[in-house]
Amino acid sequence: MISTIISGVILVGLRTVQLIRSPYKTIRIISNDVNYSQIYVIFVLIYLYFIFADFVKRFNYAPTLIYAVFLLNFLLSSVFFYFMNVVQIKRSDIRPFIMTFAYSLMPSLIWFTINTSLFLIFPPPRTSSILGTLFSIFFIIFSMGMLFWKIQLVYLSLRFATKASFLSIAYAVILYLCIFAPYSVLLYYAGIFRIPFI
Amino acid sequence: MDTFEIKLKKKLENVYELKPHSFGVPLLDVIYKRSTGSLKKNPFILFIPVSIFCGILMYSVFGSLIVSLVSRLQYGF
Repeated sequence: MISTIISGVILVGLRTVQLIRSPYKTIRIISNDVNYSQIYVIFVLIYLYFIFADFVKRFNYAPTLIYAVFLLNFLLSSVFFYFMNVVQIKRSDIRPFIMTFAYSLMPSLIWFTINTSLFLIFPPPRTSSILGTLFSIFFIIFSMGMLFWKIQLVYLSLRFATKASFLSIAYAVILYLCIFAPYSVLLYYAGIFRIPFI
Repeated sequence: MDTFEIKLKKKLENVYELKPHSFGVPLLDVIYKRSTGSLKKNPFILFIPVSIFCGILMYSVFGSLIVSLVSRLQYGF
């Protein structure tokens, strides 16, 4: 049991570094992997993040409830792309979707963790002073970098999980966003997520 | 099977795991292959300059509006 947890932690750490260095090769390996301890490690890290964020800025709801909503989002997203794939290509294995999508949460986890830490160190609102503007530019640059990485990982996850072409993936993502965007607005007004954790 | 054969088989499986893309337009295929080729290894070599460019562009277009955008993003968790 303990060795499984330790191996899961080491694997997640190594693969996160590999996702920075060679995302294509790493996602291909992850999509064929069957070691579920990695998913548990990632989900525990995300749960710890929600507890940390609640400590920094009190949520409207208990962090466990927000985490449950996140889990629901994750499962619904995985099932959505899985069914899109079943309809299009008739493959029926949800494992690569879960594995690759779990790893594609790493840029989000890093961005949210750093954002929360910066909230603690340099609390907003920012001012238009030189330091405030410089901080804002650096924050935007960092956020853009994480966003590009996230988009790449999500695309590669879909590419290896579905084996579909670029256009099929693009259509599926557009359809997903058509459903997810109003849902995110709903979550925003419900006070659960300002920026959805996906 | 000897080690070389196993390695070769695995490599070929990796190569043929995904079908090559075809948009039906040769120019688009070339653009896709070139752009994705450079992203397969060390994508941050490309992401960092593009992010810096986008950050500076956003500041030069929107000015101090990005300060309020960052404030909103900082409240975004």
